[in-house]
Amino acid sequence: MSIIRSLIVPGWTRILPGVLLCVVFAFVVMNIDHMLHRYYKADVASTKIPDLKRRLALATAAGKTKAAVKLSKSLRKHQKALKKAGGKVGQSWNWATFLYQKAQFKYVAMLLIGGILIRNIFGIPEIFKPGVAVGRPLIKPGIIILGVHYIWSDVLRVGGTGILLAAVFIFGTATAVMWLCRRSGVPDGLGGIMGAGTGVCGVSAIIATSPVVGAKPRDMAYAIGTILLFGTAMLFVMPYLGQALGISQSQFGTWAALAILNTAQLIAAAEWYGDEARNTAVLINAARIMLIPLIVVFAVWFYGLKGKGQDIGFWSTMAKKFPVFILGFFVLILLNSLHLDALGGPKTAGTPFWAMNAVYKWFFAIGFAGIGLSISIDDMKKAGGVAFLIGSGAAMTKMILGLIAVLIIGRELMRVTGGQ
Amino acid sequence: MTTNPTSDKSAASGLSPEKREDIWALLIAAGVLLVSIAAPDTVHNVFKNLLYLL
Repeated sequence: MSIIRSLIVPGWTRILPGVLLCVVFAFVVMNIDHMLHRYYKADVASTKIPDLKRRLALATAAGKTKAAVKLSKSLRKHQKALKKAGGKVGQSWNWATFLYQKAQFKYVAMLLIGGILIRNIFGIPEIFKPGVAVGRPLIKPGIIILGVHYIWSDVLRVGGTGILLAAVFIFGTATAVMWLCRRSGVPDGLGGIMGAGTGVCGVSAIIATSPVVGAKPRDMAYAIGTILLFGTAMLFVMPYLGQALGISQSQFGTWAALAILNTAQLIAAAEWYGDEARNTAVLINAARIMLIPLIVVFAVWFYGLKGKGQDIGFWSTMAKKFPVFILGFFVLILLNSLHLDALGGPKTAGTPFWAMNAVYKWFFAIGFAGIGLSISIDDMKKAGGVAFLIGSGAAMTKMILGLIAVLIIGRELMRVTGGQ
Repeated sequence: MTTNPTSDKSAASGLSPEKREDIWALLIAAGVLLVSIAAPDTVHNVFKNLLYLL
């Protein structure tokens, strides 16, 4: 009973209105995204159908059966897309192509930009604020469910390389930031959480490290402000930068996982770039967040801390700070790797994993709504001082080095196949 | 991943906000798995078609 009682969030009735706001916002935006996608597909179909018909006639006349079957299949697909929009060949939906394809105005962008605008221009009534902050962790069930996209060979290849890269970047950044903060006279509490926050996983690492390095609430506000400011800027800049540089989906996923500190923002940026980028980013992030307990232990060692009324031993810290939800993600990968007929796969119609594959995006959408609605310009203004300069300088350096690393690694190594 | 608005009360209830979030995430995912095993077509239809009104 006590376990069940401890699962109930104290004052849960206060968070309900905000969570509902996130759900409604996500629902509206997902529908707009769906409509945009439909008209974009119809626009493509309207342009392609005449050409496909001409090529099909030529292939049939030349007796190229295989090519004709392929063209016929493609033609049917485009005709179906056109029918869904209720349009005719020759009709144009340029605006949908511009918004959806060129401007990449997909559900992620709508939820984030829309959320920020709502929060900072119109404001959110007090009754919604506690629940809006709870919307963001709903990304976690989405991450677990996304496990059906992977098999163990992906985990070993992408996750193995990813954890190596992440470990180098995490501990390199954390050491550099903590050392620079100490040299610049920044208090250990602020230097410790800034090092942990810019090294790994942003806000989670700050929260995990703050009690052991004795950070004050104001230090936490500074560090979280810096992480959020940098993460928000990168979230909007990196997808366009990636497109301009022509880097592949898997390369972008790796780059985002190395450069963007906050899990939710990282997944948002990768999802914005594309499904393959998201698959790579989620897997590397799963490996990365398992390093959070180690960064806490590292901070304890770096500052030579002794437990002040709290146990900061290696194993107790590992147990306390380990993100247990990630075990669910790995269980689903294991089940998918076993190729069980009873569970099927994400692309096998009528199977449980195929059904689950339809669900995760909704959790992400509610989580992204929570991020957008939580980003307050006033909170970001709290970032400042020497620690901010060091933290953002280190994060920027990590972003540039991450880009160089993924360009060296190439397109194939970090690609998630999902057994395909 | 984030702070819980009620984190000040969390110590009293035994679980940290992060652990509570993690356990809820596991429970929700397990629930989705069970429902998907029981009625895959219905789950797929709801999340791919019914929820899209536009």
